[in-house]
Amino acid sequence: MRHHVASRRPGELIDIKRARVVCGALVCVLAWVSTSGCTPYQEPVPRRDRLNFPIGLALHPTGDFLYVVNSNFDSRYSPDNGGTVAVVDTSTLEIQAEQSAFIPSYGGYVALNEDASKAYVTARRGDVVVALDVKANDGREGGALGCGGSDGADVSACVLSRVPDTSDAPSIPGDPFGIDVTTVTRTQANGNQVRADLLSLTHLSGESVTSISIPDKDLSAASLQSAPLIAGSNRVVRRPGTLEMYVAGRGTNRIAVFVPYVNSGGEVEAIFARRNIVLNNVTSNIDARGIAFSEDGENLYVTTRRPDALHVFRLDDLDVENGVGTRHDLERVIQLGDQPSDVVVHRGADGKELLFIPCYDDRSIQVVDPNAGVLIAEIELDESPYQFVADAGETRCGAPGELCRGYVSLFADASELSTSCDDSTQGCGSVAVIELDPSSPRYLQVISKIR
Amino acid sequence: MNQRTSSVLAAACATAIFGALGCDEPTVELPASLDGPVAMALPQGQVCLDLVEITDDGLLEPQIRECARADDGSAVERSGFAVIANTQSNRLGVMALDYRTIQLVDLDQASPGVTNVLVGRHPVSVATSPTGEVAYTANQLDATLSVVDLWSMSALEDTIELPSAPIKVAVRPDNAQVVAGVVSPSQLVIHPGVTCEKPAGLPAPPRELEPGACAGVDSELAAVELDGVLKDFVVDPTRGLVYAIYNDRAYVSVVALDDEARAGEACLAGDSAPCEIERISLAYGCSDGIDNDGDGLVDAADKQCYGPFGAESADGIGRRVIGACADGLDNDGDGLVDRDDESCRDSGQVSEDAADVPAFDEDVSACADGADNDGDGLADDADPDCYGPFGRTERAQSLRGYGAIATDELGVMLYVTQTSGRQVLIIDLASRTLIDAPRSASSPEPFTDTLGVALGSTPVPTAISGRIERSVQRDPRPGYALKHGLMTYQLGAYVTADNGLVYFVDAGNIYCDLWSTTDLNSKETFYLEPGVVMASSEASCFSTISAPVNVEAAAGVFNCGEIDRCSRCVTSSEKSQEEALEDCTACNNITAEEYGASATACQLDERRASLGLSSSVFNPIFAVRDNNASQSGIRSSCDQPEEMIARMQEYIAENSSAPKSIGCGSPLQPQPVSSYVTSSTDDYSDAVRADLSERRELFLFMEGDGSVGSEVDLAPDDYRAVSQDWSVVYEGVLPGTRRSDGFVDAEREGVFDIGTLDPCVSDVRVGDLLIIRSEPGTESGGVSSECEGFADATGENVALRTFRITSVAGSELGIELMSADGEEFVTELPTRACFPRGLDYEIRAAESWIVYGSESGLASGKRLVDGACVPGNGANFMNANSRVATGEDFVGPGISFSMYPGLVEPVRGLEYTIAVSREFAIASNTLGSPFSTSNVNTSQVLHADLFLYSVAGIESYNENLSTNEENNPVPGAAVLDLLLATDPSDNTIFVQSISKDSRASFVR
Repeated sequence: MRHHVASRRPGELIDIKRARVVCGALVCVLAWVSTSGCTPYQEPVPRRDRLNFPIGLALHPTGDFLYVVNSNFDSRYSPDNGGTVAVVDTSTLEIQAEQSAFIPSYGGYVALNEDASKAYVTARRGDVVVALDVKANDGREGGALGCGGSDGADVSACVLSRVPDTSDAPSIPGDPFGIDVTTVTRTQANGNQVRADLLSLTHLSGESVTSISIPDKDLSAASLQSAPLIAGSNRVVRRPGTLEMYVAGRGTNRIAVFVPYVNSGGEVEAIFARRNIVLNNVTSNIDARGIAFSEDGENLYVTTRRPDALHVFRLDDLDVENGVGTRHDLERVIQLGDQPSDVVVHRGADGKELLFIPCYDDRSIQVVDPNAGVLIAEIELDESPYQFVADAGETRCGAPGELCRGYVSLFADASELSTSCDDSTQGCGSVAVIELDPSSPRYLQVISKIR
Repeated sequence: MNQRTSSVLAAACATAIFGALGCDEPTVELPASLDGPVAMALPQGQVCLDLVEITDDGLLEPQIRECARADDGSAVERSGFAVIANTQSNRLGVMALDYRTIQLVDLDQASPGVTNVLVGRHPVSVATSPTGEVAYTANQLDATLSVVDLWSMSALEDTIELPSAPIKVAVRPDNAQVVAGVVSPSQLVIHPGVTCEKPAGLPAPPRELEPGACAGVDSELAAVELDGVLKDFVVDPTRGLVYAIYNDRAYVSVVALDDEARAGEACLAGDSAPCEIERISLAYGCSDGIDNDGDGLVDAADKQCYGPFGAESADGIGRRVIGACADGLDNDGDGLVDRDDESCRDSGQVSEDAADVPAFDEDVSACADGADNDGDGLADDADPDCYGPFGRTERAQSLRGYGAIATDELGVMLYVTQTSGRQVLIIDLASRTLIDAPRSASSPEPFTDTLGVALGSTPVPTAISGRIERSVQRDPRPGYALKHGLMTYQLGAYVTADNGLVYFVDAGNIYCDLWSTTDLNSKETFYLEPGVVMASSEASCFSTISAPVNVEAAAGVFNCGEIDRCSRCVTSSEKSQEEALEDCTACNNITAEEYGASATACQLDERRASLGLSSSVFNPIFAVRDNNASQSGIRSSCDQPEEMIARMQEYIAENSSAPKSIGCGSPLQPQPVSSYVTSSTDDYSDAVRADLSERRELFLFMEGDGSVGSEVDLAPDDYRAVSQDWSVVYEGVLPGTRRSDGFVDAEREGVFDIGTLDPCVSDVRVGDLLIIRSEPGTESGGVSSECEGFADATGENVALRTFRITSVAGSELGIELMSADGEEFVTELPTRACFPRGLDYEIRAAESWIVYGSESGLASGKRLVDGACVPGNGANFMNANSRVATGEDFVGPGISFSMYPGLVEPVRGLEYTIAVSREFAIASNTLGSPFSTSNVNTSQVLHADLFLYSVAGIESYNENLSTNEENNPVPGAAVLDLLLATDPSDNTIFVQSISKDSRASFVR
């Protein structure tokens, strides 16, 4: 039994998921009692050559491979392995099924660490983070995902629900969704240096934010701290040049800022709340969906759904005479199309920073020049755009004529053979490929689609 | 289990699933006719639109006709509709305003839904020609202007192509030019105005009308390059000028649209208009990007600037004290001026003489540490962002966040919102100068850093609309009513904020005794024909604003509150004026000459201006309008130490004629009193303890015989009042100085270290008293015999260990023994041997009263700069002080009082509490619509006077409106002053009639 999904959005699953879990339990009980055959989750595991309600995207630093988190949003497949992270060869735009990985259902976002050896994925089924190994395939870096010696078919050893993975360790709080990964280096008393992947997580339910430190990529040495900072935290981004994490939430009217404290051993010891930034003084629930910084960290961009708007903040010294502290001045509020779901800063070949804002119900990406405060283009899409990523490799986007593309997940884009995701047997959702080379005649147009 | 049971369970299962999922379904909303309404305009021209019933059930169809004209061709009727740019649907909507129900107009009843005018993609702004037959939309995605013929309600096929995406469009009032602001590159693009001919066949529904012949669409563009990233602009209603603000500049650019408007002023670049002719500062002189004092040096490069809050000259706008190091003079004769003199580190220094230089910390200054602190590749004085060799940061400072700009109906004032400061900045357009609003108001507030009118600590202004509220009292004498009147103008602006409210910011009021050479302008002429008004006698009413009057500045060092107190004492004295001035402590040794000048100034004659027979007065207000009829006030109480009561009882016993009261109001006891209280009172129990800042207004009034008189009126300034408790304590503990981190220097006798206490901000002075509250002891415990002299045997006399402070240097205090003078004090200076580290101590003022506000803090008038204590904000403007001696006056932020001396010396700890209650309520309207009260994102606010006329055949004419306003000599026209605001996020337009005080309505 399936239901209509076109009107739902990724991440709006908290209550549904809970309801579904409860309902699933109810169904099981009923099935057991009735022996009538109302047995759930009889579907097979998902096909790894298809997209299925894609949400999160990440590009390998080379730009050669795109990673797409498929959420199994309609619970078509078994909850524990209903999602995938598809590996897409961006030269052919084909999904590398054998190199893709299974993950638990309701996957959220994916982020790579500094050396692109790990891909961390949030999944709300089981409240986990999956720490996938990014491997080479046919000699091409980033061409496969796996877990230790296993390929993507079995990543159970890389699924973190407690940190570290011991029975008495603290659990990851409920509904992890947004993720930021940065690498920090700490020097121990003996002079040895420890490099740790520092994960910052948001949680769609509750008020927590979480920091996880994984020194030397050793999951058994990982540590976790959580703190109640903001309701329904959704996305997190690090301010360039700092360890300040800016968190947007769905159930609040503010941005929370925190700093994780990582000790000399690479263990995260504490979360320090730094400040709150009010987005709007009349709305208590502004539903912030996207958050990003300019490259220099001097401008903060936040997209919200109540209202549908882009908020542009300028960061300056709090004490302008002495050049210390940070203040956040709201410079602009720009009206957007319906239901913005992300905001991404991309510096094009012309050297200009533009914002790419997928608008879910508007079926478009709105391209904004944040400095001028104007909408410069609207990229029309088929259905429900969610996350956008853009090429940023060394040989990409540096000059006109260089390869430069953007990718946007289209969450509920029905296949060409179907009118909606309900009646599709071909999977649901796609990734649209957008030309970002300003010298191309198809600049800011959809040039292909990945399914 | 049977099949039926299974079916029921299956149904329950399905119900449970759907029930669980149901909560996720989106709320179904009916489609709105507006779709991203981001901007609007009111044509008020020659195109009239009627709604005509075409069916029995009241279906209305729009019909276009030409508005009625008088025999001489002048307009006696104007358009009664607004046009609305819908960003999301790319359509221009039409809203009828002159009907009982304000409503969107369906331009074509034959088409389903509400038909609007299709324009270019993503229209973000709309403007109409002054004749009202053409509308322009600025289409951001197309980089065009659509031209809409309002006769036929259709867009022309030809558009005006722009060089890049526009942010706004505006039309010059004489229709000569259309101005569009574009941002890549930043330019004002100027195009000749378009005109459209009236089509044949009127009246007719728009769908039956073809676009008429429109002229001027194909004309060439002119452009003015702008220095910064354009944020907003406004066209002057009378002068052919444009005022532009930027995202990254702290000034307003004044752009002349043609050489006539340039009026002989030089272009900043190029030789002829259109061109930029001037820049008006929006910030402090040392951070506005302008060479304010004409020395060729800007901001950080200027030798008088030590930081962004300073001014480039003594008469500039700044918030730092202009002392010897910023006065442009070589004060010590060493041939070096101000910042070139190495003795100068701050503008507030009292001397350039090396001997007087405070002890600055040499290691602090980022601009003198040899490092590139901001990573721009430039270190210290090579970095142009450094304010001199001792600047404290290399980072470029940006005081900006300017949002929207607006002017009023006549172009008298310019208003700029600043989101970062949550304030509205006000510019006098006659002098083209920023008004330092807090310091220029009738009740000046010298202590704040803001330059404008703050909405509050949290609301961020989003949109603004200037406004002049005009009323007329005509001369009652026969034959004079049309030529002579007392005009009153309230100048200000409506401001919307992100908290869903719309405020009114009062700039000030004008009273004008106007004698006109022609008939007094009608209200309609005043609001709709600004060029006519400014060419008439009425223009003289606005001549007073060119120099907003700061009475205190005009009167020199004295403020009018002080003058009032002095004046009351002098007046009540039976001595000569000179003797009274000497006797009255309230007069603070003012000379007779100074007194005369100040007293005259405080009668506000400086606010008067005369031109011919007319004269006018401008009273600056610079505050958010107050909607609370009550006035702020104070309550007071006191705490009398037993010793104080004992002293008074002793005095009464020794003086049989002495007042017998020993309570808080006893005249025996020193106490704070308002300057309104005379010293002859026997008991002050019911006396007002202090004066709040007062708004001083010189108002004019017309007598029955047509003569005009004047009077000075005083009222507490509720906007600037702060709800807080002021404590006034004799020999009180300096706030923050009761601490536990003091220690006695181990090596030097008479040196006490105060730990991390900042003696500058806490206003510790030589002569104050240090009291060591810790009993003597050693770190290992116990008291050695040589330390017993420091011990208090009773355990109650902490003051035993009191020492007088002889020097204050950094964290070290020099101390000496107290002279006994009848009291018991220790006779030896403390030693480390007797007092370990971590001593409890406190510092008290000696023989003076400490005044402290729970919100305003300590008005010490000092600030710490690189470790040195220099004069602080406001220190040279008023008597900023944290303490007052018995018999003197105290003047602090928003409060003042005289410390009545009494007959008995006060004792330490005698305390008065003066509680200020602020009676202020924002005069505001709520913008949140019933559709979504929590979703307010106002993009434009507009105030307009709509002049309505009875039109034959229109049954639904609003009979609730007055049809013959008292002051409107045009018969038949009713005035509807509307406040409108667009909310593109909620797809609503807020509409409210202000004068009728009606409920707001929302159009969707």
